[in-house]
Amino acid sequence: MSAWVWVVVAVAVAGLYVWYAAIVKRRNRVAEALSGIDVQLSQRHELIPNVLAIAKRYLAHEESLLADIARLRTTGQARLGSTDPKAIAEKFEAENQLTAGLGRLFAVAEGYPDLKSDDLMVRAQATYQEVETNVAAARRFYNSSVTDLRNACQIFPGQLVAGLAGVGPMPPFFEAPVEHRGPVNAADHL
Amino acid sequence: MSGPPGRSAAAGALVAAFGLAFVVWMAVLWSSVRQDPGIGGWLGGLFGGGFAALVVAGTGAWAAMYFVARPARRAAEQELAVYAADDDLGRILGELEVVRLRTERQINASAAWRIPLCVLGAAALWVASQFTDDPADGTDLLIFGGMAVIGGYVWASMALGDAYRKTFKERVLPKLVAGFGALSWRPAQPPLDELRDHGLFTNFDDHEAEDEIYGEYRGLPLSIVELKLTRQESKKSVTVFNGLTAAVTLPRGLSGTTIVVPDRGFFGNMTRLRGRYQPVRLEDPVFEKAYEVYGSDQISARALLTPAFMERFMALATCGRFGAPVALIQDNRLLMALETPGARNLFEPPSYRKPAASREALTQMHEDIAAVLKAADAIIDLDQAARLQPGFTAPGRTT
Repeated sequence: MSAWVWVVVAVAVAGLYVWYAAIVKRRNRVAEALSGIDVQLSQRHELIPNVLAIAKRYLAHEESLLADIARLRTTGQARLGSTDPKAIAEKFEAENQLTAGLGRLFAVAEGYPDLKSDDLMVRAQATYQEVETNVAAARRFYNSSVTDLRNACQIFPGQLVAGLAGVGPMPPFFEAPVEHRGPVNAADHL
Repeated sequence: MSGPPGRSAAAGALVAAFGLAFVVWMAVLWSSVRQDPGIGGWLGGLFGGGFAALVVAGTGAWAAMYFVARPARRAAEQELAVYAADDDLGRILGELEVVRLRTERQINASAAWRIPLCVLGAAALWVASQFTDDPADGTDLLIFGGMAVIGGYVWASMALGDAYRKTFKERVLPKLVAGFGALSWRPAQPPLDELRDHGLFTNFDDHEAEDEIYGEYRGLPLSIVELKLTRQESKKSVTVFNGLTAAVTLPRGLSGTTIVVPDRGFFGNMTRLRGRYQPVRLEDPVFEKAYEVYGSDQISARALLTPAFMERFMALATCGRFGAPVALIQDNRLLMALETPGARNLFEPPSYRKPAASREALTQMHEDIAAVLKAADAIIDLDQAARLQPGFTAPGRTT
């Protein structure tokens, strides 16, 4: 074989290696982002018992809502740390249900002036807002990492090296809850 | 029994003016005789020099009365009025008026010998030029004299004028700033190390920073510094940054370091911070195109740089008041540098030649403070949590 053929083969192998390294880096970035989400979700879970304890004092007849939230928290808690794409998707779904439940709880609390003005509740709500901002930030980081990984795996020759890099089924996106997906114009809030 | 205030200084200034007039007379006479040794030269020198001497003596006498005797009398009157003022700012301005008049008197007394000395030096130069192949003429003498007068006055006024300016700022600005809330003023302590170490501005070798407004504003710790950064480039000073730096502690639970700097293109960005911080890729394509974000914590960076924050950040850049801002966030402390292109020097006190209670100057200082706090408002409003800080009430805008 002529020297040119060797050069072409060497360039192709080097190119494949660079692609392989990029996929591995992006796969690891997704894992990092996923663990970041788990950290934030843990904080949310830790906050919920306090919120429920405060709410219970004023919302005795909203027992089913409080029980629902407690159940969803337990389900979400059990799924933290999962890395299998299917389990991850279920975790995200459970967390979205938990978000919806907490949203309902705070909406109900609006109708109870005593609860709304309770100092502990005010602080719990502020902390919850901060945690939710961090969950949203972690979600954005994760989705951005997943997009990068998908691009690297789905663009040729990514399909050829994705298997070698240990990337199986693509991890799912962490979509925001349906009620949060309405159109928002940031300029309206400026 | 002592005479009227400033009498001895005025007498000294008069003697100096008459001495100077005599020197001018002699110089013109000598020059005239040298150029025309006949009777015509003597007559021209005597009458021409005499006229010039009269003008110099008359001007000197007027200046001695205007600049030395009158300010001394006004200072004495003002000193009595100070103790009658019951308003705090009014009392300070009254005291400053005394300082101002004393400064004015000292400058004029100093100018009374420095200006003649400079004029003598200029006259000596002019005389020396008469022995050269190309002797200076009468017009040159006037130019030399004019420059000597200006130079002598600047020599006399620079240090004293600066001291008065500093005193005025130290006494008046804290009072004016306090009218806007729990704020005060101090000589600037610019965050130069932060700006350099985190790559916001790296290529500066000198700075000017005089004023800092600090304290609590809208319930948040705030510090604003007027800052100019320059670097020397082949004997020329180039401005790297001219504007405001504002540091505010946000009511958040952020961690790590995040840096937002304007995009410099592919090669420009390659030299930046890549070893220390990771690039943070954000979802807003317009923001991504205009800015580069680096951070030590991807989630914390995004927790601050929400879509609304990015939108407001870009609105701040395009509002026309500032150039493209840069930001450094360390834990909860947000430091922003806002370029104010073509802006004049802020918080400038009135000159010692104007009354300390000059309405125009005080209004200007008040407006400067309001404008700077408007910039602080824009920065605080970037963050939703800071914007909704409980207990915030609009600050009073009156002194």
